[in-house]
Amino acid sequence: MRTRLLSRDDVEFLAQHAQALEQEEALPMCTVVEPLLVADSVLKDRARLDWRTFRSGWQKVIDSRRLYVAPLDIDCLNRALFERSDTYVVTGLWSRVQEQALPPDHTVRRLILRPSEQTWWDDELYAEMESWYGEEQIDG
Amino acid sequence: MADLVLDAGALADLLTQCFQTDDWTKPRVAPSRFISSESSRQINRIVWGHGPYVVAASTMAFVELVRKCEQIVAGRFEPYQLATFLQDPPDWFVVEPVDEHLIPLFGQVPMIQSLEWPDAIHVATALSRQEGCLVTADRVLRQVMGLLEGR
Repeated sequence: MRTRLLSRDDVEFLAQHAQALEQEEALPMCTVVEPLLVADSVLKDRARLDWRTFRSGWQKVIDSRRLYVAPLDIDCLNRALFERSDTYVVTGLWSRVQEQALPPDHTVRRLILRPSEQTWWDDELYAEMESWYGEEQIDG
Repeated sequence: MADLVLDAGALADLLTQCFQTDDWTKPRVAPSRFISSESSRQINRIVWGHGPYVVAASTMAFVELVRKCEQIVAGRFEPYQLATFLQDPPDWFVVEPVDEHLIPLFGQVPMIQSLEWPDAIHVATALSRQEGCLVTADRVLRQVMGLLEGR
């Protein structure tokens, strides 16, 4: 089944229209960063919806079990945080997570979506994410 | 006593002291830049005791530690040591995930404008423990924890 990566805007939309997931033909997936960023903007009054609306709408999304929210967990860190040799010896930190000019949300997206033998999504999903957010820089 | 949740600075200081010990799973933690005397005493009680409490850090703390490696870690330990720790953390330490279950707790964090979302995750992680106390030297985080205690 094809996978569709959701953006932060998609997640904000779904929190207000959870029923839209029923129309999805692909398997929708987002990183945990997207709902966190929406929640952050809602709580700081920088979004169009209030916390109660977001909270209940997001719960409907989760309860529908139609969206995969990829977590940042210890398996993800073990899988993606390091460069390893062919014999699986750690040779250093993955350079792409040390780019301080990028905002932290993008670092987390990279870690979660970094393709490997242990992930079920392909390289295209990672490439798509980079094409969306790869040019973002921290202000100042 | 309570579970202790470390922010990135405190985590870096703890890991440094772990890797300076012969048995890195059993450090004697001393006060440091990001760990106060009281926090070091509580960490040692958890490490050397057999009680129900643990030291925890969010996966986000590890990400911040790597992003700001030069400033926070400053060459005090090597990537392979960090990998060893993450591969098999000691039984007194929990690496907490950032996942969909954290979103409702995120809403309980007093969201002052100067609080960045990665730091809010540390607070939400502390809230996720039944009895959780955040170990931090960060001024904004301490302010937020003060607001929580005042509720």
